[in-house]
Amino acid sequence: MNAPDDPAGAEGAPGGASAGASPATIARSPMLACLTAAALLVGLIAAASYAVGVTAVLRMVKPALGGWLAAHQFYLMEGGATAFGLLVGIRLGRRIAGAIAVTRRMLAIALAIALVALVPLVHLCAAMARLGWNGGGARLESWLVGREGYAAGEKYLDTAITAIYFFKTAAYAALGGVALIAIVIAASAARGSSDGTAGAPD
Amino acid sequence: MISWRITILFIHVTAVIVALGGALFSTFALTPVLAQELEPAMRIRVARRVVRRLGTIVLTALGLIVFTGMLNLMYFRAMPLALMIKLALVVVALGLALYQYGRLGAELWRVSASGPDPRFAPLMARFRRVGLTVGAIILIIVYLSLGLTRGAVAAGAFH
Repeated sequence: MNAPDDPAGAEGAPGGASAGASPATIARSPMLACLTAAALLVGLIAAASYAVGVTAVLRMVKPALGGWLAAHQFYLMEGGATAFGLLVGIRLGRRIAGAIAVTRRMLAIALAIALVALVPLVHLCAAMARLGWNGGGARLESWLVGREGYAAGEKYLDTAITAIYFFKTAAYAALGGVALIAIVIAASAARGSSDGTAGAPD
Repeated sequence: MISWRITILFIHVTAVIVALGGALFSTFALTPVLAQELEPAMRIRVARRVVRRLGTIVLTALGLIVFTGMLNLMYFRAMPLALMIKLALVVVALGLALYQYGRLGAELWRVSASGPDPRFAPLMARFRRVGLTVGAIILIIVYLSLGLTRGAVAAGAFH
């Protein structure tokens, strides 16, 4: 389904692949890779801070920053996880659908929609992540405390539950990212069908 | 009777009906008739347009299913095993549909742009096979959903 905005689509040349590459080859996007890494970094640092309680130490050194981080680290963790998941989902959807179906313009549209929908999706994905499996709860706590002692065991439990919560949020967001790519492909195909510029003339 | 919960559930169920019904109609009604009634060149012209239009409908429906499903989960407020299996199947179905209408559909469109091509028939056969797999997975998801709903009613979740 060549996008109507792709003037090379009539000859079958892909919009997303570099010249000379196979039509099915996905051109690597350094910007997308950077965004994904940045989202993961923000989310993981916030998660680690939340789990380990770094803000208590930071307040002694930089009280204002420590206070700000204490107030926002949970939301930074949720936001980082959701952004990371959305980007992974978009990249995965792009890889499954192929370069012909997902042009650079469609990818930009998907990213723009993801940015606009990020805040509501953070709340939705985080709420979904709070449902169901949390690592076994009491069983995990019992194992960790039995193995590491009470103080260390409780710290490890906090870290484990935070990590599980982070990755569950990201997984739900990834599903949303793949669904977003599906909708963008559908919209592009519909636009092509409705204005009659669907690739080569019949 | 009118509430956000019912509205979201309505959109969710309607999207399932549209996704499944459209794909089944195309596979079991439209394609055999096209094969019997039309010459190969015309059949390919019609088939490629059907694939494109059906892709629009099915992918939009699947996208709606995912987002309304997420919202439904907020009202359900639980994650039983059946729901976890259902979510896993949704991921598989979505991935396969993206492959079918995105990658295969785009290839079909490209290959048939200049008329009949020997690559068209095997691509179309693979397209149909993937479509049947997606349809079967959606039917299993519907079955699991009915079990979840009945279980929720029995537990008083809808009161």
